[in-house]
Amino acid sequence: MDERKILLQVLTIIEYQGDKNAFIATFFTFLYLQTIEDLLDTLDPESRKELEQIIRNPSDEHALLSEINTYLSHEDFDKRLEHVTTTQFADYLETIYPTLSPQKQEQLTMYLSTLPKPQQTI
Amino acid sequence: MSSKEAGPQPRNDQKEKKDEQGAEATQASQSWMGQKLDRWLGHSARTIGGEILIGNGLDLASKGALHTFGYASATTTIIAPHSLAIAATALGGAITVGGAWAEWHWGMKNAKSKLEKGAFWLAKAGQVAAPLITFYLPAYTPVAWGLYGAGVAAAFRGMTHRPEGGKKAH
Repeated sequence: MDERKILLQVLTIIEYQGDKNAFIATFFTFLYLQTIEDLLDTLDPESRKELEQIIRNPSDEHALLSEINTYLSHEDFDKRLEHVTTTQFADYLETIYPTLSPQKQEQLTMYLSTLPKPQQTI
Repeated sequence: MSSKEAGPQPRNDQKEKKDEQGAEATQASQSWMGQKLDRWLGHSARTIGGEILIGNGLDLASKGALHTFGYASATTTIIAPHSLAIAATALGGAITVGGAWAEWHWGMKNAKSKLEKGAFWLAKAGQVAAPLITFYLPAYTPVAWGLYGAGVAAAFRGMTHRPEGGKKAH
């Protein structure tokens, strides 16, 4: 099951009345940007400044990506993204849970307890 | 009250309750997102720099959630309208990161909710980080694992603390 469907199902269960796709897109954008922000915070001020400069004035795409990779590793990004996602999704669920009726809480709990483990991708 | 008048009442009550509940959850969801956007933008706007928010003109269209990226220009600014073409590529429930000018002038300027405005500026900020996001994009599994982990934990809490739901402990 993909990430989008999980959120979509949650929004369906809670009977979200707004634009579900927009909410999901914003949610995922937020996760990615928060992850990047967290990673930038881990850099020393000098590296951070250099990286921001690179992002501001990209020479070409390949060079840009190569340079970025010298500052931030894929592995760090993955770890941080997973951590940010876990934290933020948990926070979201805790926020909406009290607004739900017992039946909806039960339904949401049932759904979340049956989530399949994600499959590794290459 | 006649039996005719009384007849449909319970169904209406049920529908109203259902609508109310959906509205409450919607409000809670949007308020949560609004807070996140506020906090994130307040921090990042300072660190990344508002003047380059529209830097690369990349659009964050959806394939899955954030998979498709189109490349436009490296020199557009926040008021430079490179956006018509970019906005056109961002169909299908995507967040348009490119398209600032068009979006802003065709409606976002008049957006009423904090969430809409926040999402708009978050999308703009996304352009700054777009090279990073593009670079790391294939690693999408962490999001799935994060949702899974949080979901399972929430389900566990939901099962063990049903009467209170998932209220935060403050």
